Formats: sequence, C-alpha cells, structure tokens
Amino acid sequence: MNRLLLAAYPEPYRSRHGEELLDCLAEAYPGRSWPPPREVVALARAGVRARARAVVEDTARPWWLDGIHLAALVLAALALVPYLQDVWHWALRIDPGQHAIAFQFSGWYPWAQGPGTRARLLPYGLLPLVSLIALLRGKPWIALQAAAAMIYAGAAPATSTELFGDEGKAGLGYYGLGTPITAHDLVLSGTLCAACAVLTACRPSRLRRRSYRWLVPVALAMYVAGGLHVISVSPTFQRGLFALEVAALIAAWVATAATGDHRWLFPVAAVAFIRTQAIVAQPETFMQSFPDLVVLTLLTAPLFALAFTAQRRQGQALAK
Amino acid sequence: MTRQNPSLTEPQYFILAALMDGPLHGYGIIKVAEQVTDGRLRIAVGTLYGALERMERAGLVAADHEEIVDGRARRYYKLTEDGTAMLSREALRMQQAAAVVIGRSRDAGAAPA
Repeated sequence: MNRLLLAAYPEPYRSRHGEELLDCLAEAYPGRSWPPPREVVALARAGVRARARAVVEDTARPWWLDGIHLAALVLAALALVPYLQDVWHWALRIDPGQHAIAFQFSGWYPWAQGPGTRARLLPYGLLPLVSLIALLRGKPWIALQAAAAMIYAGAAPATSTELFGDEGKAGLGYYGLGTPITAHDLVLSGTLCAACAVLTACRPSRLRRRSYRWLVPVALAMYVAGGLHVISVSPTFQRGLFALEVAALIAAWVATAATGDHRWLFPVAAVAFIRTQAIVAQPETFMQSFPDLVVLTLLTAPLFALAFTAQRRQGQALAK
Repeated sequence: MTRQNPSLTEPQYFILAALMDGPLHGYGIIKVAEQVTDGRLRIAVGTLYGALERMERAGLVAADHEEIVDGRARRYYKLTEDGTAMLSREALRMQQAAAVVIGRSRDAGAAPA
C-alpha cells in the first residue's frame, strides 16, 4: 500500500502504527496499491483526528495562543493567495505580458519602469509570503514587520513610494465567495499585524515551529498559478480556492469534534470577521456572485457549528 | 436528547463484541464484525485503528501480543475487564430500548396513511 495514505497522520503515530495500518489495508485489499475511496476518506478523517489530539495534548503553550497563531497563519495565506502568480513571475524573472494581474506590471526586471507604469522594487505578495514563512517557523517578530509593511503599502499615498509601486493601493486582495477585499482595505493587514503583535508579546519561544514541508503546497500553488497563468480573479482559481476553504473548514470541524478544543475557532472567526466587514463596508461591487445574506450566512454558520460541536464533545468521554 | 453516560458508537460496539472470543488482529476484527452483521457493517481500516486507539486509552481494550504472518507483523488486541463491563452495559441498554418498540409493534396496528 502507498505510504501517502498515512500523510494525514502525525509523525509519532505513523512510526508507531503506520506499518500495522498499511499491513491491515494490504490484507483487506490484496494486490492493490490504493484502497477504495471510502477507506481513503476514513484514513484522512482519522489522520486529522489523531493530529488534532496530538496538538491538544501538547501543553507547552496555552490553547488560545495556539489559536491566535493558527489565525495569523490563515490570514497571511489569505493575503498571499491573489499574488501567487506575481511572486512566482518576479522570482523567476518571467514577464507575464497579457497575463499580468490587475495592477500594472513594471517590466521584466523588478527595478525597471515599463511604459506608462510606475517602477516597483519588490512585489507586494512578498510581504504576506515572508509573514507566512516567519509564522510557520514560530518567529512572529519577523511576521510583524512584514504585516506592518503591508499596512504601509496599503495606506501610503500611491505616489509616495516606489518600493511596491502602486501595487499596495491598486493590487488585488481576496475575492472568495463574492467578498471583495483590496490591498488598500487595511482590515486584513491590520488584523494580521495585531495577531503578530500579540504573538510577539506573549513569549514567542513558546510558539509551535512547523516544518518547512508546509511550504511545499505553497510552492506548488505558486508553480500552478505562475506556470499556467491562472490569475486570482479567474473562475478556475476561485473554484479551487472555494474547494480548499471548504476542505479546511471540514478539517477544523473534525478536529474540534475529536477534541472539544476551541482553538480552531480562532482562524474560522478571523476569516469570517475579515470577509464580513468587507461585505458590510462594500468597497467595490464587482465580483459579487452571491447575495450578501447568503455569503454572511455561509461565513457565520461554521462558527456556531464549531462552538456547538466543541461544547457537545466536552460532555462526552468517548468521541464518535 | 441529553446523554448522561457516553454510549458506544456502532463500530466501537462491534469491535468490542468481536474481541469477546479472544484476542484478534486488525483485519480479524473487521472480518468478524462483517460476519456477525451479515455483511452490513464493514469497518474502514482508518475508523478501526482510530477507535482502537481511543478505546485503548479509555482502558477498554489492550494490546496483547504480536505475530509475524507472511512477513507482516500482526498486533493482537484483547478486551479488558472495563471493556467487558462497558459492552455488557451497552448491550443491556440496547435490549431495553429494543423491547420498548418490539413489544408494542406486535399488538399495535399500523396507523392509516
């Protein structure tokens, strides 16, 4: 059986029960390298549960601090999403030509000034990427500086800086589920900055340090978006993002149901807050594919579902 | 509905029931559970090991011994005293619940549609 089936399980569980589990699968489905889909789903669910229990049992840090750390990670990823293509092109010196995302591209080299465009030294997407890597490695003071630079790029007058050109002002933000957020809407970068400030203030040495392997899906997403020129406002990108968000929500629910812990409410609440305010503030009206009320319900319902699940699980000795 | 005492899920119940006749390895438990339910319940491997781990922590089952068969290490699991007591309580609870319906359904006629 393929060892990838155990990918959802944490490392200690894999080394303790991995072989036994694969042997059992091989006995149940002889001659096959992959079991039927129901077995794959059951393994993924059991893996998320085992991972969630391992997180909760690690008492080196308070649950709320881990929750804020998770929320900061999700917000940094959220801010990076629209710029995956741009960062990839910038890093590999690729001219996107007609595939450039909404802001004006300033030329082949980052310091060059294209015809009718403003020069920029760095892509705006580098800031959320730095923030994400720093948070993964448990270094919130670096993420704090990157988040502060995001606020600066979004708040400074467009003519006052050539660091990010006008990308911070006119660049894209997050567009999932008909919720437009532009880079100059400072709630996303402000909330990320506040979360990083709390993490920095609360003894960052206690934060969880995640493996660099978590960057593999980020690099893969950059490769796909940059290589295939999939811009973030395209329907394909939006559908992929929607599927990813639903999968993340299900994982948060499975983790909450398995442990009764409230920490996974933090990232869900942070995303719901950012997008709800964007709907209420309505900075732009484009990319609105659903009525506001539907989007608001979809955003807030998981919060109540998670809170109820955690409460219910705490009253039971054995999880389902 | 509020539950004062946690009850077993269906896979947990049949895993414990499969171990009543002695220690079994993972696939052995799946086969026995399938047989006693006439093929209705086929426990997924991920579900089985998740349930075994939780019940092992709760003291309902325990790892027994290991055997090498066809080059594969098989770990056997056995029922503990707590597990046996829990299984008996659950069986009694379900028997009482079933009696409420089965006892009446013979006497009472079906309501008109």
